[in-house]
Parts: sequence; structure tokens; C-alpha cells
Amino acid sequence: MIQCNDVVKKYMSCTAVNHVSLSMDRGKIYTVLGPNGSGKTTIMKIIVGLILPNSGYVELDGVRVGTGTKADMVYMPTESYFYPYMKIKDIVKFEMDFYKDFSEERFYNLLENMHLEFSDKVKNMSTGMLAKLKLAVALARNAKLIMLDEPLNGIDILARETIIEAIKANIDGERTFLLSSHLVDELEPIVDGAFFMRNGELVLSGTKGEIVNEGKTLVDVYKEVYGYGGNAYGKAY
Amino acid sequence: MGKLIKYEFRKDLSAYISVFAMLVAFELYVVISLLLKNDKHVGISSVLFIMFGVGGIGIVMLMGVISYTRELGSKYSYMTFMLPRSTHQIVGAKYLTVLIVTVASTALYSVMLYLDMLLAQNVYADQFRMVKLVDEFIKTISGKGIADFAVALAVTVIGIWLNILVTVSFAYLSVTLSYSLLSGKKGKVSLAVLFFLVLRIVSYIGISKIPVFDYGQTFMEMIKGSWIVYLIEIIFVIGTYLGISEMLKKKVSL
Repeated sequence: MIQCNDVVKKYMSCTAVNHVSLSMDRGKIYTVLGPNGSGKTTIMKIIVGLILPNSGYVELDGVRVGTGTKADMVYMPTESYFYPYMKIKDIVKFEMDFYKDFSEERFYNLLENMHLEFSDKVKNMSTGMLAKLKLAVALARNAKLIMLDEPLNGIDILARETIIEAIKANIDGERTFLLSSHLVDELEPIVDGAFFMRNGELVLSGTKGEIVNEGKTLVDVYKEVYGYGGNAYGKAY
Repeated sequence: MGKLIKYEFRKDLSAYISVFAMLVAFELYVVISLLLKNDKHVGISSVLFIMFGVGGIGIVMLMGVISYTRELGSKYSYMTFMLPRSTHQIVGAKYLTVLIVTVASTALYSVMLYLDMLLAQNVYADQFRMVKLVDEFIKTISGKGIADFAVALAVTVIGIWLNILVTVSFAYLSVTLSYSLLSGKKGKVSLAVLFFLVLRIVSYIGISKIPVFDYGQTFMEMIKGSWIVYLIEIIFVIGTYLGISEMLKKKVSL
């Protein structure tokens, strides 16, 4: 469904993504892992079309990523991205104005499940509330690809559980998910495949079955790849 | 495009309301002064109203540039640039919003000014026989009457709008250039200001070299003679619009 072909993104001072090729199938859950600055966010932004690569390309169902494909993809950034004046009802109006696949009913159900007040103004919300709101906006779309960048970032444990439950409840076998997070152990139960990035390169990728051997977890592989307690692992399967 | 313009307008609604509220407040001051026939306050309020009217329209246009700069430097640009709309449509909406707000505020200001003149005409009936004197004066110097003068004035106002739109376009271009070059680095605003000054100076020098045709001595004829200047300003606006759209598509990393 999604095909990244030899994508490169350079900035003046660094190469953020260095010849990355990956593919994702419909209805699967993927995670992109790596330390800060490894290129996770950049590759997500390239996939959704927020950033143009210097070379290489991304295709969604055989169509090059561009203005049209933005209607079929969701990118939830790490930070709050709503206009400062917005209340929740303004966000709903905005989403419905521009995205035909936005489900108002599903959005309000998600908010209710996450105990968010409908009349709250975005700028008055706490980090946890904003995290839930961003997730509700993302999950309320029937997009082909939903990318969640650090959905559990800076969230307390109870809110984290609520968010993970919300993600699990919205896995429907139709929408593809790509999640990035440092909390590998929290995501492990739900993912089908993983991409490990380091210094802009894809060092390891595959399905969970391919990557994780008997007795090992994704966390163990993460530690091996990024050198925790041992030598850095630099070879992709 | 309509929806994009709606949200562009909504982003700065509070600022627009503040500016229009001030304008209405000064207008009320003028009206009350006229009704009370308090010459001192009529004088003060008129000056304030005219100054704020002109300045307020400038502020309203500046809001577009400030809003754009803020947007490129903040994460809520994601809301705009993740939309299934081309950068041409997004930038076009920004231009049109600036133009609509400028035209609306000028129209509102002109209506208020006209109503003030009508009220002043009633309150100071004797002095407004001067209107006829002014008409004679204008006929003498320009060969045309007040009505033709009004047409020439309207064309001048459109020329001013165009000039201000060029200024705003250069500001947008400068901001976009600096954000393209200094992605993730400091100094973007300073570089944008530098770019703007260079663009403005170069354009002024360039426009001063453009021939102005001599169609006659009346005000309207002199304005007609500057048609090439207006045409080149329109080209500047279109050129910056296309340039900004392409740069946002290719270069600016959010």
C-alpha cells in the first residue's frame, strides 16, 4: 500500500533520511523506532507529504504522494498543532470542512471514552488532554494510513493506557497504522511490523515474526540494535 | 478556496475586531462631536479618525504578514499544510484574504467618512456652500467636476491597494525565502526584513525608471499615464504568488 523508494532528505547541516526504502501493507500496524534524531519524524512527514525528499519518492497505492493523497493520510505530530483560537467544536468543523472521511460520531465517542470536555479551548488544555484530543482527531478519520508520532509522549501512565486502548479499539484491519514511540514495550502487543532507524538510515525492518526470535521481545531487539548493554547492531535482516 | 479564506480570516478575527472596534469608536466620537456642534472636538475627532482610518487599514494588511510569519514558525502550520489542497490554493487564499479585508475596511471607512460629511453638511450648512466653491475650483484646475474627481480618486485608491498588495507580497516572499534558507536555524525574522528592504528598494528604483505617458494635464489623465506601473505591480503580485507557492511546495520544511 505504501512504498518508500530510496528516500533521501538532507538539510544544510545533516542528512535526516538516508536512502530509506520501506513498504507497509493495508490494515497492518507498524512501529518506527529509534533514538531522538534518528529520522523517525522526518520519514513520517515525507510519507504524508509535509516535506519533499531531495531524492526518491513515496507512493500510496501506486500514486505518488502529493496534494491528492493527503486526503487519504493522517499525520498526528508530537506537538499540539491546532490553531490557538480553536475549541473542540471548531476542530470538528474544520475537519469536516476539509476531510470527507472524518466521522463526527466516532470523534465524540472517542472524546467521551477519554473523558474530555467538549467545550474546552485548546490553549487551556493540559499535555495529557491535548494528547487525547490529537488522537481522537486522528482516529476519527477513515484514512488509509494513520501515522501517530510519539502518541504516548509526556503522558502519565493512566492516560497512556487510555490512549493505547483507544488505538487498539480502532484497529479494524482496513486502516494502516504507523506509530513512533520510545515506549517499545507498550506498543509491542499491538504491532505487526517494525522499522528501526538510526542516523537517518533504516537499519532493521520486517514483521514482528521476522524480527523477534523465540524468547526475545521487541525491547530486546531494540536494545541490541541501539547498543544497550552491548555492541551496536548494524546489520538489517 | 472559500473554506481556506474563511479559516484565514478566522485566525486573525480577534485582531480585526479590535481594529474595527477602534475605528467605530473614533467614528462615534466624530458623530457625537458633530451633533453637539463642539468645534474643538469635531476637529480632534476628525484628525484622529482620519489618522486611525489610514493607519488601521495598514495594520489590517500587516496582520496578514504577521499571521503568515507566525504560522511558518509554529506547529499549527501543520493544520494548513496537511490539508488536501495545493500550496497554490493555500497561498492564494492568504492573498485573497488580505485583499478582501483591505477592500472591506477601506469600504467601511469610506462609508463612515461619507456619512460624516453628510452630517457635517447638515450641521454646518453655511460652511458647506463651500462644496460648490470646491467644485468650481476643481473644474478650474482639472477641467473636470467633483464627480470626475471622485472617479479619479477611486482609481487612485485602487492604485494604493495595489501598491500595498505588492508590499504585502514582498513581505510574504521575504518570509518564505528566509524560512527556506534558514530552516531550523535562528535569524529568520532578521533575514526576512533584509530581503524585504532589498526587494522594496530594488522595485522602487525599477518602477521609477518606467516611462509614464503624457495623456494630458487633468488628474484622471495623469493617472491613465501610469498604466504600465500598475501592470508591472500586478505582475509582481502574480510572480510572488507563484514563487511563494513553489517554494512552500519544495523547500520549506515544517
